Amino acid sequence: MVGVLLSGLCLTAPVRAQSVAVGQATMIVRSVQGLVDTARRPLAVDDPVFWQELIETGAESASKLVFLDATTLSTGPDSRVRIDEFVYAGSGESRRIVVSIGRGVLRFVTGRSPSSAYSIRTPNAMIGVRGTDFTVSVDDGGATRVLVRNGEVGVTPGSGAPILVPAGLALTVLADGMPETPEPGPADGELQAAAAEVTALLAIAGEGDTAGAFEDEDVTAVGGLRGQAASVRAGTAASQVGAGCGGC
Amino acid sequence: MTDSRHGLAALSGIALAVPALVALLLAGCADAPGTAPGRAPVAGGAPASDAAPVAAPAAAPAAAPGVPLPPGTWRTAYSGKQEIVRGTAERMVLVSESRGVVDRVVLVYRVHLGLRYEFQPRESCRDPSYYHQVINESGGGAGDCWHVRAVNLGLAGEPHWVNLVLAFDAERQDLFLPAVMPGVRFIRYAEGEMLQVDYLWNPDLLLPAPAGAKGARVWEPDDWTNKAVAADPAKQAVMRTLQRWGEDWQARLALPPRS
Repeated sequence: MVGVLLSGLCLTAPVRAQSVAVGQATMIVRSVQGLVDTARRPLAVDDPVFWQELIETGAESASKLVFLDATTLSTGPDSRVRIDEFVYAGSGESRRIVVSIGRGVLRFVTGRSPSSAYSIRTPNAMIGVRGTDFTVSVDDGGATRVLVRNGEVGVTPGSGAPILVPAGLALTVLADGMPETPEPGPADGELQAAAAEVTALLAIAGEGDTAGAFEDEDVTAVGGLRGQAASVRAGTAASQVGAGCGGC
Repeated sequence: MTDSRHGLAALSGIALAVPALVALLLAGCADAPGTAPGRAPVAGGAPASDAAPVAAPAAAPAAAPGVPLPPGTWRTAYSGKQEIVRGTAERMVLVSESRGVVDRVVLVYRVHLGLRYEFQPRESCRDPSYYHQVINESGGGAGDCWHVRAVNLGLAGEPHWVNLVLAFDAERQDLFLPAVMPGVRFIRYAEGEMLQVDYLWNPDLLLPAPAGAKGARVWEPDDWTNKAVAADPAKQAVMRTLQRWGEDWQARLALPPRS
């Protein structure tokens, strides 16, 4: 449907057209609303999402949006995320996608477009994307946190030069724009928890295609560990949670 | 967690014995993983091994009456009904998979007692190993409850029959099956009817296990004990989400009418 809406339109330059769909919602958990100018609507699965639309998620809520270039944007509880720019180049690629987050948490997985096309704005940093999968949060105090799962991102804090953050590391930019030193992702428990909550909300409570809550890369990576999991099972007694057969 | 790379080889010996074990156990086992041994659900603790199976495995996930399934495609790994001393017991093991990975499992255990029998309170409603537990004293004849916990799918020792079913199914279907699955169990009672349903999720998809010295790892049961969860905010986020899901989902489970 999105493709139909866009057909016949010249989209190589930004167009002031709130009716231009740039993707659609594939998963919605609890309360998610879209706001274009002053028009507010509850978002549902399969609804289109529009250029310059503000996506607001309520408490214990989450959304997963898929853009025309197959980029996925997942938003977590109490988040405000806006699709600032979307320049579609056709053939499933975009020339520019800029998303801003004012509060909350988002997970971004790049699609088919060149990495240079993507940017994420926060109140105190600009994030350039070189890799594929990362989580960004903005807390109530205004600090930005970035956790990279795959690939690499460049974070330009409000104060200072760009900092490359490779996979497995997390970076915090304080509210005043000062960056901290990147550290291993697990060390930032708060951001890890926020990222886990987004994934878990979509996977556990999703009302759409629940299996679609998982990114292809997640499933592929986990599937590759098949033998390891079998080994663990084979060597692990089930007694912790009820070995044997009650009543046998 | 482990770094072992010899999983299939290690499983192969067990796998050879699994079909026979499954056949034997399906004929006699009465409960689902997580229920402590010796806590038979029927009055007087009627041992299910007294009974004979009366139905072969079925194929349709829709065969779980009163049990809503989360969205997605579900496949029946096992379905059976057997007569027990005081009634009948039905069991189902349903699997959801995504691109070669078991992402969710649903276990259904339903008991119908004869008219003369009643259930006794179920001790498994309370357990310190549960992350969260709710007991509805006003519900059912013997106390409804639900809880959030991680289920160990280990095979060593004398594994639970559900563990064997899942392992056998995963090997036959060439699927990744996690070694532990957190989830929510609901136990509902009506007069002469008991419905127990486990909804389990693959934690390796919800939260990647941290890489080890030899690369990627999978979660092990010890990683999801209450103590381990308490030490990890990300695991807490997963369990809290399960808890919230359980709070919402419990109203959807219908108590089956006495038949």
